[in-house]
Amino acid sequence: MMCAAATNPGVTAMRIGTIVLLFYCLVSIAILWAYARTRWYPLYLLKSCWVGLTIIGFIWIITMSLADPGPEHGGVESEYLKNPAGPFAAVGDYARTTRAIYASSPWWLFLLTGLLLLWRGLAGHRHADRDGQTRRSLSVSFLWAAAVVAVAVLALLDWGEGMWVYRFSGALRVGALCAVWALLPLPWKRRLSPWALGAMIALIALPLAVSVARFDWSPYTYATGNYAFAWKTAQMGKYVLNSVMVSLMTVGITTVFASMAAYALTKFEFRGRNAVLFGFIGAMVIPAQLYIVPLFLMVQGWSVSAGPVQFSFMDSRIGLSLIYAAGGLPFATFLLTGFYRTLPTTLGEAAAIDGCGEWQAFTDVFFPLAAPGMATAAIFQFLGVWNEYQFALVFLTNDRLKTLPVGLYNLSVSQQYAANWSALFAGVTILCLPTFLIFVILQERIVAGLTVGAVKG
Amino acid sequence: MIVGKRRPLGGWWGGPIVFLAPAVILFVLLFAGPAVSSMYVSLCKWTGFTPEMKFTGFRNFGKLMGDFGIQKTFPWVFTNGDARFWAGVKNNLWIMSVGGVLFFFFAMLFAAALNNPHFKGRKFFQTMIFFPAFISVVGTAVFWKLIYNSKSGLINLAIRGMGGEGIQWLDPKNAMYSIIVMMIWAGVGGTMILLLAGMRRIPRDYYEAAEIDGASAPQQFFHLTIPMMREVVIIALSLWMIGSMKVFGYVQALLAPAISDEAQVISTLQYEYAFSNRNCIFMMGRATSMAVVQLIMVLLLVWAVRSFRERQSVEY
Repeated sequence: MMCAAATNPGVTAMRIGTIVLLFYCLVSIAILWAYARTRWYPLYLLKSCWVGLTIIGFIWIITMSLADPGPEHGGVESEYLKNPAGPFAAVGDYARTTRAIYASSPWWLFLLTGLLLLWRGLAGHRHADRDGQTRRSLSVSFLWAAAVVAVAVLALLDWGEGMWVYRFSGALRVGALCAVWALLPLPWKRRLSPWALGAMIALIALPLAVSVARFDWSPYTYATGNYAFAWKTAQMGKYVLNSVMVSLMTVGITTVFASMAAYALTKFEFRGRNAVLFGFIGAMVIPAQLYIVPLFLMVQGWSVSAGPVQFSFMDSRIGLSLIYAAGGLPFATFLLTGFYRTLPTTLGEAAAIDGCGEWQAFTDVFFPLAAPGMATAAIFQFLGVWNEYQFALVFLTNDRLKTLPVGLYNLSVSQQYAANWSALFAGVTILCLPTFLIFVILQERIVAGLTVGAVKG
Repeated sequence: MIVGKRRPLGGWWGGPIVFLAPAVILFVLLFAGPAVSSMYVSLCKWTGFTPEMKFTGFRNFGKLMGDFGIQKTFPWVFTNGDARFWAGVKNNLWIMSVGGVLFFFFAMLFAAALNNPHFKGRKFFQTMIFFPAFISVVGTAVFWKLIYNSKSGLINLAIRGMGGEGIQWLDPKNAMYSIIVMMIWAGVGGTMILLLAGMRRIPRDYYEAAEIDGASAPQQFFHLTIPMMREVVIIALSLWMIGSMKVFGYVQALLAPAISDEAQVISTLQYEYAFSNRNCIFMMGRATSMAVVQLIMVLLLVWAVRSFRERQSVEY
């Protein structure tokens, strides 16, 4: 589909629709706005790359989860295998598209652009200097403009075929331009007029915008099929339900028990108090691998059958929740002990004067007051269990009961052989997207919890 | 905060015991108990199929340390049993050291960048860097497995787009690097948040004073920021050390079912010995003794870092 651009360049230029131009103007304006609002230091290049690659990765995964899995939509000959890069192929195709577009553009367009840039550059522009004073100075942008126009003219005349510039493919040239931009000293960047910048971005980004717009999106419309496959046939729905059940049970057990323990450890003086606290804190160092074997062997034998009710730790969501709760108790107790310590003891005494027993003082006075601390503990516990892999792998052998991580792992293994890649991409999206949304909502609390747990503790 | 000295109202049994009991019972039964009994299991030979364990003393540890006796007798039981364990230890230490340096470089860089009050879009960058920590380990591994794919993964597509050859990311000899990259991607956000919190606690006045004295930004960073947040750095360092010694899910989910010996870590090897041996000879005792060695190593590392912390604490 990309090759069409090379064979009939005239058509390419004609096909640039209003939508593309609109999109492209919006992007240019957004970049200009970002340029005006942010300060880009060379140090930040790495961070921007990091985040940019993360975003590209996720966009790629989501795009591929929409791809046609193949003939009869059942896999084997996936769109992913035909064109693995998807819309990102446009970046690789940059050089060809550039030449195709610029070769088909009229010469007076370049002349006009060049003259415009020269004019704006010579006129200079107002910018803030190092001390924040506004001043007007000659813009360095016309150098850039000249370079860009020169490249465009070379492309126009097809002189550049053997030149060193064309040895690099499009992706590398875009990358090199970004690197040059990031490394450009700040005073120079201040002197770059937004006009010139806009024109530069325009000339660089136009072929990209054209490729993306001309990209054939029709194989990427199988979202419902892929997600339905992942959810029903590959049983991700069941795994999600199992994960939710196990996580919620664990969170409930841990939060209540740890809260009670923290109450006892902070509001009472008794012999062995420090020993219990020390035991909990020390247990946080113990790796899961240490006790998983004895636990496995111990739990294998335990099963209760009372009439119709049969309970065993193996292959049981409740059993797994109890195991998780035991594993999560040390940290939750540690976190909540710190929190309960900040609640004044006099509250309990006042409650006692009003006739509350110990239990009532806990349930009616301290437990509600500790809600924020418990929320933090609950979030950590939930995320820990939601993501836990090793125990779920060992203690759940029944396919019906598996949790989401184990399910996704099975899916990743089985779909490689079944060659239904789109379903796998959909599975990853199902796992990642809710986490992302929950994370965005709870971010402040998570950050606060992490900070309290580690910096103060 | 002052902890009041109170007699329990309902006596000893009505007081703390009632509140403490559920947590302690659960903890002892399903965590502390097995953890303690693992010390005994590690001294036994046990296939897990039969209930009886055969006490063999320190035989398991001896085999880990390099007694090749069992292989002379039964060469088909394990090829290079001990060598595999030590390869795993080496890989864990490799992740901890090489990965740790890169990890802290990035974490510190990002924290410093986000700490800049002039930086717009701080929230966005924080979200994007931090959230991979909350995708499940398996989700991260599958995500990267797709990206590392040698034929159609995103990285190799980009490399080929630039005219390169493409790298076999998951081949035995490259797998360790791939795992390190993935772990840094997933873990750097949490450490960044810790370091950021540490940076925020440094009083602003100090920077103003430094600025008046004419210190440049890099000078401020190396001579003011880093020494002032030694505590936090050490906490983050010990967390990374513990995490990299215990790593299981990343390696297992990225490379299983065929983890090559070059990419094994202690935990995956232990899992293989205990639960998924290809030869169907389960070595529960041996696996547990590996975990004990792992625990000892973790404790030694944490102890070393802690003692360093006590020696070099800064008052402010």
